Amino acid sequence: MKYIFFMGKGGVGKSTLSSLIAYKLAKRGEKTVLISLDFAHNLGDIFNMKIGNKGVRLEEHLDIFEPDIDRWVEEYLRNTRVLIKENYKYVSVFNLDNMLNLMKNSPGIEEYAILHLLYEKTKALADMDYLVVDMPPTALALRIFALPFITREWLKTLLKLRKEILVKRKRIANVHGKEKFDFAVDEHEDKVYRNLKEQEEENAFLLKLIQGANIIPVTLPVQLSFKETERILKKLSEFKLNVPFVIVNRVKNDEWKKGCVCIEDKEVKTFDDFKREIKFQDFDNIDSEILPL
Amino acid sequence: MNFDKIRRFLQLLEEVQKNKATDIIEFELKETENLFALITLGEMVGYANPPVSITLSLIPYMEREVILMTNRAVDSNDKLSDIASIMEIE
Repeated sequence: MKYIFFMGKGGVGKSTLSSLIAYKLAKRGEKTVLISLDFAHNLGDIFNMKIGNKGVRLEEHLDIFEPDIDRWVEEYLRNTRVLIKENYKYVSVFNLDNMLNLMKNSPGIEEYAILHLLYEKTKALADMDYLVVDMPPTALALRIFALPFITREWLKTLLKLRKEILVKRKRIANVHGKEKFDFAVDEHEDKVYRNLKEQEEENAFLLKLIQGANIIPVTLPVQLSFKETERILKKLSEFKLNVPFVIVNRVKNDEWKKGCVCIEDKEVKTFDDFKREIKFQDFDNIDSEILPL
Repeated sequence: MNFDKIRRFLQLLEEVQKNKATDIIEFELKETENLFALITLGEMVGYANPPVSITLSLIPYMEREVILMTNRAVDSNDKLSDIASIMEIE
């Protein structure tokens, strides 16, 4: 499956362009999934229908989803609560409800929810040709792309530490006998170690997905939007992610036909510092301009 | 009868030797487990933390560490006695 992510400042036209591309791909016969990972979904407004969590098959080859991210977070925390109750002998060691309420609003929970939803959808729809993603506005989108990289480093450290714990436990159990202790000594029976390995597997999948994806920033022909796009490109370059080009949307008066736009009287053909071309929202040309990704 | 006494004495001796052999490892283990708990559950006590996703995914399996961390917090004024007992200082 090929992945295309549209990102940019709020209101630049990410949803419109991602819908258009997904529609064109489907018309070309590619099995395409269009998914909005923005909290403020508007794919439903674009296609003039209620889409929601379960999704809608719009065309023979086009499925659209608008997952309810808040509901997913609540469900996830509810499941965590059940798991804690199942696994703990003394739940009262901390105030479970308090802790989970705190976690609900914790920084990072939205990014994780969105990434996990992406993981689940990609796994479930593995036989599709294209996944087109309408991302939330810049700040959150960049944090989403950064999270698997940060998580990889944390998991590496935690797995190393956990292995050290298991080695020490084993040494003690070898002297006194394993039956005297209620802790796990082997990697396969230690639930914490197993959980870390599961997380590592999911994270590696997401990293591969993001590193193999085409990320397309969308911008408007105004200075503020261009400045933000430069910051997006800088950040994405740090993570060495693929950005084939930038789309400049809403260019008036056929100005795009010149192959450039004017920002404060200066003609711009490319984001020079980042060696990224600019392309335009020329819908007639979109097949040749944008689709050969 | 005497054999029983000797056997019990030898068992006691073995137990003492075993405990001596693992005292330091057990202390190190407790410290490493506590460190693991502080890293993963640190947010609850105000430490820098890994992504919340890692914490939430692990917490259902970390009762031992949660108890250890809570106890350590309670005993935190008594660190010297921990070290003293390992060094066999009365």
